[in-house]
Amino acid sequence: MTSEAAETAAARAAALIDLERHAEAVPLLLQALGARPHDAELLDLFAQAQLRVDSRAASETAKRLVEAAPQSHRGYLLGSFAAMELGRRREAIALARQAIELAPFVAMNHAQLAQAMAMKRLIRYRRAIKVARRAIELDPDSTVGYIAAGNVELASGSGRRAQKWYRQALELQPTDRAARVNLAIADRRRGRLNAAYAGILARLEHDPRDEFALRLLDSMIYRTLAHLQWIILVLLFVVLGIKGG
Amino acid sequence: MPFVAWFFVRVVVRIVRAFVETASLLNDRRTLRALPWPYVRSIVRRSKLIGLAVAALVLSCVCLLLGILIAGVSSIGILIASFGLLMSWLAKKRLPAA
Repeated sequence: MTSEAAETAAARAAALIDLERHAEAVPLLLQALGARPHDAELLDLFAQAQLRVDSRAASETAKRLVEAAPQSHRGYLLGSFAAMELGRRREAIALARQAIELAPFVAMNHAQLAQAMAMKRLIRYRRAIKVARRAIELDPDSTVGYIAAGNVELASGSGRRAQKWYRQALELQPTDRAARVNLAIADRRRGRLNAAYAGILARLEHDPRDEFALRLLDSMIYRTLAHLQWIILVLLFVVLGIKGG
Repeated sequence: MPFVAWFFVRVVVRIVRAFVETASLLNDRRTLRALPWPYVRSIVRRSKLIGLAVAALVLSCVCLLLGILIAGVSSIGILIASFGLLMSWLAKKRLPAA
């Protein structure tokens, strides 16, 4: 592959990532990296594409990006995303902190640190929400800080407060897919099946092949099926009580 | 004893949520119509466990209706419904996180 062809492949891959078609971007970037294996921009895109497909591989690519561009925060940030996907909370926090050291005024780095701190059980709610607020202060017109704050609230178990943050993000950017889908997740957590379905459907309307929305739709279908099974089970016990075994 | 009480409370909460959430979903005709039904149906083909769970759901519904008329059928229905719940729980465990 020539250098020019590699650039074209990178542009196509970037467009596919924007459309959330990460799996299709991976082979394109693999080809492009064959021609330019140490290109930081290509490695950045490759790690982004791999994040949705193979977090372990994304983590390795992020390490390569750190080696290729040690002064850039991107390798650490993407490495933190991958570590979070892999459930390595400490590593995710450490990498996000390194990203902040290199680029303290990038809101996304603070947002990622907040999300990494708020992962599941080992929650450090107050510190995490403070970092998310810092991300909002740094870039109040961007949705990343609001989404991070919502994610922190969601991880702490407060679906209602999370919804408030996601709605604020949607006020800023009504088409923000992350805010929309996270709002659907918050709705699902709060037991609002119809609102959650509506959120997922809105996202699928935009892109019917959206892998994440389809995965979320699968989990909603499973939940609905389990609800129906519980209802039938209770009704069967009622009938058993009335008619006898 | 505290464990039994905790388990009982969790089951009651789960049942109440199932009724409330399903009722609100069934009330929302617009969302129901907008669902991608071919995709929803395809989930049965994609996962054997969920296929078994759906089959158990259908059978337990039949047992529920027959149980109203014939004594004893509801106990079989309870067994089938419990099996279905186990299958959907296992299927959910295998589902990638969303």
